[in-house]
Amino acid sequence: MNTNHEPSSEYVIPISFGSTEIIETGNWGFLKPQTSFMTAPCQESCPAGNPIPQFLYLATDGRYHEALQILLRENPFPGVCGRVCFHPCETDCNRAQYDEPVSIRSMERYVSDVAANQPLNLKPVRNEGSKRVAIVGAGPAGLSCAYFLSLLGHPSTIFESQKEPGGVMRWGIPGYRLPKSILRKEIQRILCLPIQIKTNIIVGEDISFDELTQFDAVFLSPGAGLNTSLSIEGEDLKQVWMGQDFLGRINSKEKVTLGKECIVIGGGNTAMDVARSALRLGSKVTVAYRRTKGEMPAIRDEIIEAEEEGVRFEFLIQPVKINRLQNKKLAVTFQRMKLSGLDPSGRPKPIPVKRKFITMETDQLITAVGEQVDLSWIPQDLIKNGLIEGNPSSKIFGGGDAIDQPRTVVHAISSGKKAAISIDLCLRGESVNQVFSKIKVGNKGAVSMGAYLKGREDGEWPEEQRIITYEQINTLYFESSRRVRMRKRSDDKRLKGFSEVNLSFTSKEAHFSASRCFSCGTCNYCYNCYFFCPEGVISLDPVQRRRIVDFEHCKGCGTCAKVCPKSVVVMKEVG
Amino acid sequence: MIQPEQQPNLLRSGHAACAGCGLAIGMKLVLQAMGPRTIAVIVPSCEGAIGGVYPYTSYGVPTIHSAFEIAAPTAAGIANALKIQGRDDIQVLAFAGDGGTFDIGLASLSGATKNNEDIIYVCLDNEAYMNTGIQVSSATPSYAWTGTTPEGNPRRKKNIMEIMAAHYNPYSATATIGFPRDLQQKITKAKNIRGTKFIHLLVPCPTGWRTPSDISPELSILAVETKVFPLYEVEDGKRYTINYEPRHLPIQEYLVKQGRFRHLKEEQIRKIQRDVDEEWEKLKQRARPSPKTRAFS
Repeated sequence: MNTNHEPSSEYVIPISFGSTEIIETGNWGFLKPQTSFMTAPCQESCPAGNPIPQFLYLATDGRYHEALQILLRENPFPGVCGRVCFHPCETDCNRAQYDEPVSIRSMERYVSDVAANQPLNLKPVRNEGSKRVAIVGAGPAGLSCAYFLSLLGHPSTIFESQKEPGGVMRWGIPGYRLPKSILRKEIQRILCLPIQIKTNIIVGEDISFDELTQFDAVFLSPGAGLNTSLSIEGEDLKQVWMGQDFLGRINSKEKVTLGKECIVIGGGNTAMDVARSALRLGSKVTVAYRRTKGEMPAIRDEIIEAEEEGVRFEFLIQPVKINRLQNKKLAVTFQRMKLSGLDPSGRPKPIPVKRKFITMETDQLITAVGEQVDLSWIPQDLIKNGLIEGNPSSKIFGGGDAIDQPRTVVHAISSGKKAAISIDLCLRGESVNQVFSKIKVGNKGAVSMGAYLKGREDGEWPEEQRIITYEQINTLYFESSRRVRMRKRSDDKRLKGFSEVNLSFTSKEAHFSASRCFSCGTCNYCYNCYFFCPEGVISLDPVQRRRIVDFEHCKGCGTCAKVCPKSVVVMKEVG
Repeated sequence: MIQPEQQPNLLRSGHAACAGCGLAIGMKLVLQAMGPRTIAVIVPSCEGAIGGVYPYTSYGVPTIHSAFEIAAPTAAGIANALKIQGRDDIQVLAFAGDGGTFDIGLASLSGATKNNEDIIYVCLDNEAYMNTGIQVSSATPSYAWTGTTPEGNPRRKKNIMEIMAAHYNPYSATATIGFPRDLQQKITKAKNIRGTKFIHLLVPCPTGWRTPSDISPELSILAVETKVFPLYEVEDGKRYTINYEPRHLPIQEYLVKQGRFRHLKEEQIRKIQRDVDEEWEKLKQRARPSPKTRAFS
């Protein structure tokens, strides 16, 4: 800073005109602040590896369009996942240990709804050696695989047996959880990319498996579409329906008439979807499950909402026989069960209580005790334990519910992403394992498409990041607060149709919910280091996302590292 | 509106404060909120040391180095000279330490406040004469170690805010570096009030408080959260407003981090807690309903 001055004033009193900036106080200390990002536990536990702290930071800033773009880099279905995901991210949220977890799922939904009409801003890479890939099944896995392949510059052809794409999202999940308009929009966004989709094509009938192998690579994601049978007497009666067929008929807008009372067998998400759909068709619904509520595989929110709506639950019973009575009703005989020991999957094992039976009368019985993969059209060497196992050496990959992984939409998306990357690597003749270890997000199996695209482009792979624990968060800088619960359609209106139960956040609620994020392990420009630096050597640029430290004057006091609420700044010796 | 944090930094780097100095953070935040149209007065203290060695200075605004006990009248003189010149867009800011405010400068500050001189007076309270080697002042809290109270200070800290309020001046406020937005808002508010404005700014001193160099902001926040140093303002000597509802943390969380309290006995800690609770109750009775929002977020 130069100041014009009259030297004559020096005769009266001494005046300093120079700036102390010429004094290099940086020599006072040898420790200097360094930025070191860590992976947030929410991001690690998201199978799709969604960049959660980053999109919530942008959402807090009201930059919803950018937030959606950053989500779309890792997941083509934010609107779907924002509604139906089982949100492991919220379970592992560091804030859960402080007060209540951040409403990550609801925010994903909000961001994707607000910015829904925005075109996809991701530019597929230019790929000279692009290959053609065949995909079987247009469910979440198949569509994701096609989407990510397109981003990598490979066109694909999807063969879908139904008349419309979407798989379980289209034909399984009822509209009160996932409105079809939302799904249609997200699928349209994917299909703007160079993807060819052939509906009403059944592989094995309309096209042979061998024809698929003429493509450069094949991705098999047919889903698990076969109902598991109960294998009990009376299962073939007219009033006994299969859960998936029932949901499929409702989702095709078919007119379905149910009896007055209905029993649903099972405790998974399909059972909950069936029970709540039956309720909406006017039935009185009882769910019968052979374990207890704690062991139900369904998403917790689904169970709670089913209870709210009036679904009755009977636990520790298993059907053994179904009879048709004179009055056309069904008499279902159940065996009483108890829990004892653990089964091979590690869950408490239900075993029969001897000679204890109960009988219930009902008009309708719907079974939802699991689904299996139709393997009739698949070569034997790709089958293992009733599931598909890909064979990279013959350029055949598997994904979705048909492979050995949890059957959720987000796991399907994750498998589609991994397959797309594997296919790209295989077609270019590179080692899959080596690259996957470089692009992993934490240690729970998620991989980052963003990291892969960047590494593939310029050979810059991200440094391995540690997972930030709750103890590393400086909670002094956060005010305790409750999370906002999404408003729900009122009980009386809810059961009158299939309109969405959860209503969206208001913009105020969304801003508040996003701002509750600790931004674990990443910088969200909270200004703490800037405010608290005694030397004034830190400058921040939130728009360019830059943080610059003037080492010439930094005395290395460590205040910025200490005040960083998310331990992003660490003091390191600089030579 | 431009937030104070987006304005230029007027305390230049290269100054001679100790690493992690709370006072430097305080002066930086105050000057930033004041803006360049400011004339500052400093007195012999760490402010002088931070100011730099002749012919260099770290202050980005014209600054006068006055005598120890006359920060307020010096500032008042400048303010009046500006008024006569008709330059009413320039603010005059006086910085003095706790020694220069609570003890030695009290009479002259009282005189200037009585005349309601148009100045902003910021007392940088680090709770002892730190620049001369940590001697006790009347701002030193009970039982704190200093060079002249090796067994702990036998007297309680003087309540300077009540003394100021007794002048019925237009605005007095407490602030601390741990709540930078609250501090800068208070400075901005003071700029728009004519008359004597007093800011009691708590600034932890790593050297004198016997703490590591990186926890000044944390201590400052804990001082507020444990109610040792509540954030409030007094308008016209009678309208009290508590700006931040503390988390009511136990006093130990604040004391245990500081070397100057290391020798404390159980009963002394209990006594400090009692005093703090009593003061808080007294303040609450005077204040209007306090807001729930966190001051710095």
